Amino acid sequence: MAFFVHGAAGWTPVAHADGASPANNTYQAVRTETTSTLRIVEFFIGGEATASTVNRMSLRRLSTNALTPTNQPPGATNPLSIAATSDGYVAAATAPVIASTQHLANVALNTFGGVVRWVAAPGEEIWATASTAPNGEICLDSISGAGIVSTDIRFEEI
Amino acid sequence: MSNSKQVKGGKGYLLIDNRASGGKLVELATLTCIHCNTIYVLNPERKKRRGYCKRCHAYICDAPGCNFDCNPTEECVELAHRYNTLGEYFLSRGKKGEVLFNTNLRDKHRIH
Repeated sequence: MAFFVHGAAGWTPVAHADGASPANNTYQAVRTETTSTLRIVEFFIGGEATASTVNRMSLRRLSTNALTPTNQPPGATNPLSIAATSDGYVAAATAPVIASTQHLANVALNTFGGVVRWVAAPGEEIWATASTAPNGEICLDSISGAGIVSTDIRFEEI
Repeated sequence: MSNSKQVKGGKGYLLIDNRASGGKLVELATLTCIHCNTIYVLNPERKKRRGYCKRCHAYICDAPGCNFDCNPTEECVELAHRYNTLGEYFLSRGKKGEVLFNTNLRDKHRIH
């Protein structure tokens, strides 16, 4: 199936505990529609802070979806692919709520030039489906640290 | 993992490069637990036998919930699609890997 990338350039994370509602532009999220399923095959975090700042970044599910998110259509990695049904977003009229469940991934980096890249092996992707919370959306944000980052989430839509 | 050719899992890749700030570059293998869909870094020094689900024929994480019962992610995706209006935590797990959804929904669709 088709692969897509949603990128969020130069955003400043705010440390969010589980159960928090992140403010606009302090997170990156991907969302499915009722008819779509996605699986994350890769995420990338590039630090852009101008001084040493350690961020603990986390990939988590959302217990309440954002209301009226500002959808950003992800780019297809193959120009021949049809447009994605799923979207990415970094802002919404009403913020989502981060689930207080097990985190999907926790990684730490020094955002003073640090880089994190995770790539799933086939069959080891992170799934989201069917739009409805808490299964339909996933967000990448900080649990600790506020160093500026740029991030990419690459996913396959099924 | 001597028999990793047969058993699923443990072949993800994580790169953390902190060289620009005086740190190190590390490349690590990761496992996405087939039950809780969570990414774990594999400890190359590990001596303890890795968790394994014989029903999924895959490696699993050490969370008690994942070792106690078999709830593969792909089955949960199917349930999330089928019961998408219920708002059940099909894909999420508790902090100990325990399922958070009504397992009667799952059992209704299992053959055995």
